Amino acid sequence: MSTRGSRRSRRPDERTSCDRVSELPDLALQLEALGGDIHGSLQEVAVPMYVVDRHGTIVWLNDVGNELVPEALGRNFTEVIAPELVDRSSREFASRILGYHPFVDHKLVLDAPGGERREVEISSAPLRKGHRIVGVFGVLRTSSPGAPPKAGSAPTTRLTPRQQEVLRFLGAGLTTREMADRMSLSIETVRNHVRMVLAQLGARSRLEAVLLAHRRGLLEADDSID
Amino acid sequence: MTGLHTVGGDLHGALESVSVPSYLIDPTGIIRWVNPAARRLVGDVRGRQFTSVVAPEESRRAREHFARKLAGSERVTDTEVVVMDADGDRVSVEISSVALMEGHRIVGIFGQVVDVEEEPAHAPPPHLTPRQVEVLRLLQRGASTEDIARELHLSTETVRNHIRHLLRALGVHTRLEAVAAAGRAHVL
Repeated sequence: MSTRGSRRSRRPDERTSCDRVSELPDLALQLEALGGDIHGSLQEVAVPMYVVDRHGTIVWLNDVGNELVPEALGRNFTEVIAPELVDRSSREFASRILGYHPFVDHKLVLDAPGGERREVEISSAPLRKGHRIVGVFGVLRTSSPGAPPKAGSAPTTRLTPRQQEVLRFLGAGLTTREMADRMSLSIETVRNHVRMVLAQLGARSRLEAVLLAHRRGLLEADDSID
Repeated sequence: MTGLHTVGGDLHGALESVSVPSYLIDPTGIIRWVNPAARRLVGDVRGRQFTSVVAPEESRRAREHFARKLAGSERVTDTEVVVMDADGDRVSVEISSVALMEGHRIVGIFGQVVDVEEEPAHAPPPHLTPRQVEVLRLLQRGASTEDIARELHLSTETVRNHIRHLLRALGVHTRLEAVAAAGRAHVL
């Protein structure tokens, strides 16, 4: 059992990619020390993950991965992505497996039978056995749940000018009455606008609407309402 | 799980390489491993207590999640938390963590950062009490009174009281205004 005291002095960038291949990965040592099984953790963690073998067959999905692309296990990965991306993805997959193409983060559109079409960001790494690449381990990041992009369209939220105005007021913390005064509208009309804004954003409360709007860049932190 | 074994290969190495920040904490709360992606986010924090990476105003909540996880009463934790990055700035991240098991024994916690908020998180207004700051952070995430009560192990009535005091301290009348005011405070 090794002690890890000396590690504390290491700076973030000290470890280069070349010592990563030459030495046993730190994670393996730590897992050995703790005596834990990382496979179980990976299975349960709420981050979708997969393993694809050299032939492109999906041989493992963790629990949330299975929910995201149901019944994908045992299929070729090309069967669960958008048809228009199949050619390019197959080429890139092949050249990664052969070691010609670096494992860079990329976007992909999932389109599995029985699942919904949605854009994901993929971070993947080679599964090596000695010097051979035997498969690909990947982690998915899904963009804004609840708003899966439709084919060809960017995930935008379309708000009318009135709705944008209401949203800005919401962001500034105005009450319904204050908004009604400012816009010279009846309270009921303002409520209607607010309802539409919530529906457009997929929010259940005004607070949630403001937070979602901030996240999607629809509201600036210093948006003034004067 | 079978697939993981049939393909074989060095899964640990793959976890080191992916750009998703990942970490391993032992049962005493010491960070035992972080991958390079995590190091880019918070620096090399191996050997440190996990609470030292979490923003001070969030450390109580983080400790509670940690305790529940070790006790086995919470299998998967999905939560947003503010951490201190390598430069000492606050970054809001969404994490998912699970117990690391050896048979039925919990021997550690494995976690991954699902998402890093683009907008920088900011230090809370200095005149708020620690509880008020906790409540404010949860309000900023869109939590309801019930959500906050569950998260902080308080009754909804107590949460309402904290919110009332928080609003008074910020000089505002509604929760929405409170979040807006807290967001504005750092802009000025």
